[in-house]
Amino acid sequence: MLKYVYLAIAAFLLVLVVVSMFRKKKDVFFQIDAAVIAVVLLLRVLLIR
Amino acid sequence: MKKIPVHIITASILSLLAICAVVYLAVVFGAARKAEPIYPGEGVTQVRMLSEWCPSLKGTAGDTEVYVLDSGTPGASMLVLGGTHPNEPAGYLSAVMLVEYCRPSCGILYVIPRSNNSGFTCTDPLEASPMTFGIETAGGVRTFRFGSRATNPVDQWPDSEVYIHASSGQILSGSETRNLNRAYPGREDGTLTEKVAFAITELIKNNYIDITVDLHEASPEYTTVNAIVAHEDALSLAFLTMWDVEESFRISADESPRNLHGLTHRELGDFTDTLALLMETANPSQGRLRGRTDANLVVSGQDKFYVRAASYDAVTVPYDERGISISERCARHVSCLAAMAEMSPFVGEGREINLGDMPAYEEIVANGIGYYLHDPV
Repeated sequence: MLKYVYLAIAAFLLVLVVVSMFRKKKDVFFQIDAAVIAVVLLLRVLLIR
Repeated sequence: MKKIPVHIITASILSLLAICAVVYLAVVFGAARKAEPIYPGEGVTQVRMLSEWCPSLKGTAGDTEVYVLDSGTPGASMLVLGGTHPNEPAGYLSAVMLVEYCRPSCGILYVIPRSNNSGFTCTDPLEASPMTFGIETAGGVRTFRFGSRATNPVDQWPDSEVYIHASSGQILSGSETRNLNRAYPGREDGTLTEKVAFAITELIKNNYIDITVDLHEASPEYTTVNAIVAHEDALSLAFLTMWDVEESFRISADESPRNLHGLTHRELGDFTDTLALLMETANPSQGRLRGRTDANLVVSGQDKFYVRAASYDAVTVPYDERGISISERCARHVSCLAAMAEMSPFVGEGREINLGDMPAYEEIVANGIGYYLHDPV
């Protein structure tokens, strides 16, 4: 059960990161940071390791 | 026509790149889920699954092959555990060598090469470990996975803040929750790691295993290395083994600490009738002092930083430019197993197990461990 709670938290974070990547204007370095974090979160949400 | 903002274009491109990275990594990490083949030799009479001793393991990443090498001649029984820690490759390779080469002439040998099967599907974070390493055989290079010390967190996650060992109440770091060698005697309804430990304990009880040997490796600077650690009931066998091999190499025999729980040499000795022992060889690819960490270090065991550390007496084993090759480490394990089998009548009420015509330590070192493995297919 706890595993799914953690997965839900990771998925929520992923959504926040992706949304902020599209909303933040004129800061490409922020967007790169967000993309790298999204890779890690997406791997975790998909249980790939 | 409305112009698309630049930041939306860059975000879209980066999102696409992120998805490409995830697909690539999924392919790379997915390959680690595919077990490399083990080719049963003429001595193997049966291949069973660990889930036979714990049905809830069936279909999980914890289920693994149990190779049975029955000589047909009544005698003692021995269980060899390889891959308890899949980042300790000599333990795994020695077990594979037994499966592919050994032909016991008396008694029954059980071998589990991938005791923590899930641990072979990932590597440890922040260790820069190679995912695979190659061993030269007569027919070409065979590739083996280099795994993690613990169960893959994809199979057992999240870890608790602290790990409380079920039968003793001992408290350890939360990361030890996934360490098979802290989970014995295990629980049928526990975590995946505890289920694996439970299945191995049940195998020992139900098949009346006389001797259980868990094959490990450790850092060259670790104090318990080039050593046999034995439950107090198995100390005689450890000392006999030590004396039997001393013409070829030095190995020490230590008694299992009575206040350190969850380990094979403690719990299997306490909870079953088996003589429980564990062996450690020196593996520079695990050490804290190592330099570049790659497949070559795993196989050759050569590391210039360990040469320097040895000059300061900072390692506990003899170490020079030649390194400590995986063949030498496997030779230690295999020679000690053969010696334990040879000494079994002296500790097991006359019951004997004989591993048959096994190569000597010097032969394995000279020929390389690959000489005794099946060619790649």
